[in-house]
Amino acid sequence: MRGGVILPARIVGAGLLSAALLLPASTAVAQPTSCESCHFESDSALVESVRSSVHAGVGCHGCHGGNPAVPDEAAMFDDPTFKGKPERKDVPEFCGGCHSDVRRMNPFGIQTDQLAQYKTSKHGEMLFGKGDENVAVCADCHGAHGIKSPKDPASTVYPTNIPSTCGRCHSDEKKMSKYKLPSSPPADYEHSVHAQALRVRKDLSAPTCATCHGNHGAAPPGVKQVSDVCGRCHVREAEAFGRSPHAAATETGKMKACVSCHSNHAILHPTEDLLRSACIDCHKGTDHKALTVRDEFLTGFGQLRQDVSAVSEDLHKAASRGFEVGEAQVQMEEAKTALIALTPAQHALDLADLSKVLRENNGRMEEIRKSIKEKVLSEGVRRLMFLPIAIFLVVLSIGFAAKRAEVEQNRGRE
Amino acid sequence: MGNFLSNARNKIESFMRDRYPWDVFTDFAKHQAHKPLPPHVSWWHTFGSLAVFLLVNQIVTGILLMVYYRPTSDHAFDSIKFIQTEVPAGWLIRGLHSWGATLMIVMLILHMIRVFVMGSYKKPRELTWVTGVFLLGVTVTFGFTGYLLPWNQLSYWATTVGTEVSRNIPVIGNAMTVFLRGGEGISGETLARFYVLHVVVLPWVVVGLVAVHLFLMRVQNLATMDPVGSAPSWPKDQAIRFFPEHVLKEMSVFTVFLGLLLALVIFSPPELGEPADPLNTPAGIKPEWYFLPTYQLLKYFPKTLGIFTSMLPPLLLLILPFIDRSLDRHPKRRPLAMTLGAIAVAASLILGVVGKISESHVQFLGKTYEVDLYGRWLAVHDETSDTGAR
Repeated sequence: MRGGVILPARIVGAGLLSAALLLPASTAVAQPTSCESCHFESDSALVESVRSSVHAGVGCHGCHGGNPAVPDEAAMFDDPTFKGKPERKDVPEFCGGCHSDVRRMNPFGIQTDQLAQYKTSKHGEMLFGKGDENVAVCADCHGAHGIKSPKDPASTVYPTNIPSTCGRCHSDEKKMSKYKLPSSPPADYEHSVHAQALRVRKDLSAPTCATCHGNHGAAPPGVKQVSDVCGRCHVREAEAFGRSPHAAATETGKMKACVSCHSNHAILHPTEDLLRSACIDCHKGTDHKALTVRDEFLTGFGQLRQDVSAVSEDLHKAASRGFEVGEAQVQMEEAKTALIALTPAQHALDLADLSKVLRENNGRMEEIRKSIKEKVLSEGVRRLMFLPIAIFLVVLSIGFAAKRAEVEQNRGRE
Repeated sequence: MGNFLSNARNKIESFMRDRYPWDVFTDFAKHQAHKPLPPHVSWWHTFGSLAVFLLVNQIVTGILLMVYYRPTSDHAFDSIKFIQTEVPAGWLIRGLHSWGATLMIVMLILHMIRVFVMGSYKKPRELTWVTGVFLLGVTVTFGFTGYLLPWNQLSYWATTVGTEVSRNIPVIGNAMTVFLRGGEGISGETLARFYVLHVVVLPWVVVGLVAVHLFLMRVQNLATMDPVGSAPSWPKDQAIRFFPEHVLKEMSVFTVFLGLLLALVIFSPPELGEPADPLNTPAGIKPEWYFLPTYQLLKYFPKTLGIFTSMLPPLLLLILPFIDRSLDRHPKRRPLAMTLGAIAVAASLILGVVGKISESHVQFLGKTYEVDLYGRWLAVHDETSDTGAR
């Protein structure tokens, strides 16, 4: 039986060798090892996937041990270093054998704390602490043999693929129910503004599961850490939130920080509608103080947007007509920047901040309007000055016509 | 004062007479000034001199604009903005130049229509007509090259569309487009080429053509309405002197026309627009109004056929005196020519209007229509009225 496997493997090996010799030097493939010669026969896809993986240079023996220079099964069974296929619970240590080794990883600039991080993750805690082998191990996310570089778009851990990689388990209701976890987050994420940025704008820096939860040290942030996690990107919002009454409410557990208004996975683009609806969820109709703050912000935002939009349109028209509006344009940019800055600043819920921005922007808008008015007025002066010129030209024209009539009349008499 | 002027004049005349054949000059000038014109010369005969006035306006304002204009893609727009906003009376100079260009083409077209209607292009004035057609072509080329110079979005993209047309010419189309643009796309190279054409090459061509045109006109005098070959039917005593009668008539029209030009500059100043952005194509880019009929015509024909079709009208204009061999000049006795001419004018107007409103939305009798590329009107579905009906 064993000989029956070995013979075709040798033929395949010889065939590969012949084919390699016929190819130009640049495209010649490496001579198959004894591992490849045998395993190609039973699972050619496996061999091909290793060859095309980031580990192609490592070779089978690099992970599984054995001596590829020795032919046939002796390469495995007669070699003391042969490890074979690791048990699922041993996979992290198996990969970590190399990936925790600074000497080995340093030339590739790869960090070596993945195993240590994994042990701190929920996955690692369940695997090592409770012996639960259903949790994700390295191969579940990265693949076993066809592992690609994370920079390769075909990699399972390439940013655009992370949601589906995590979703393979986390959207499985049966699997998640055992851990009392929801299976909706992957689907929710796809509706979020973050997924929009990732999928539509192809923004690879847009947050995926791993950005908030971590990758190797995957752990869900607690309620109190949510604002810190979101604040890693939304710095100004986090800073303003820290000054708000909501920060204290989060500390005492009355509020879930950012999640209370924005939700966690299905985070939508914040609009004024969010401001209208989110407050009422917690502040009932009788909480006039909170709702007044909300209304002040809504009114302020609306007025500011309307003003900026209208004056911006006037300014654009004036510039197009050839008026010098350089200074007004600078002021308009400042007004727009202030409007943009108010979005994160509103998280402080400080009406003094709002009225300061409104006051400053009202001043800017007034100055811009005044500047445009002055320019238009100068055009009005031109129009006014045209009147005497027009009268003069008409009189002159009549004069020429009269003179011509006179000349013709005199000529007739002659 | 009178004595002083009289003395000065006498001294200058004496100075000139001692050195040059002064009397030859003065006799020539007097002969030209008092040359009798046919009695039918009317107000319609002032379009040509208004075109000459506009040419002078273009040259003078063009020279003034050149003082501040910078023909590079980095500075062209800013220099126009500077002229418009900072240079004293810069807005006026630019406005006169911009509107002057448009009115010059209008005047040339009106002048050409007048000559056509009165049959003045017929023998022996065929070459005067031919130089006139060339003048119209050169003036339109002036407009095309000048349109790019402000380097704003409209000029950039209209020139992109305009130069793209030449790509459809068989065999040499691609090479010609690259030659025109100085590369594959509109760039600083194109701007430099158009600038040189606009301020160096074309002015000499136009001045030369105008000189030949006026020379022929003065030598052969204005055409009468009499049939070709017949002796003038008007008595000499009814002739109109060029000076002062006709000149006074022209001055009378000229002053009103100057008022119209100023009114356009003041009440409808040329826009500065936005700086050219090669990465951002604005919607609904259209060429200047005088290219609209050709622009629309090209849409109805396949590429190469379109090029030949669009070249047909100017070619017909050029050879008109040689194909219209009838002797009559009076429009009433030339019904076929008048009908064909009216059809050509109407077709140009219709094509121009369709070209203008194509690819846009038009409100008509309370309904909104989407006008497609070919000028077809498609009613826009109105959801609100639909819901109301249900």
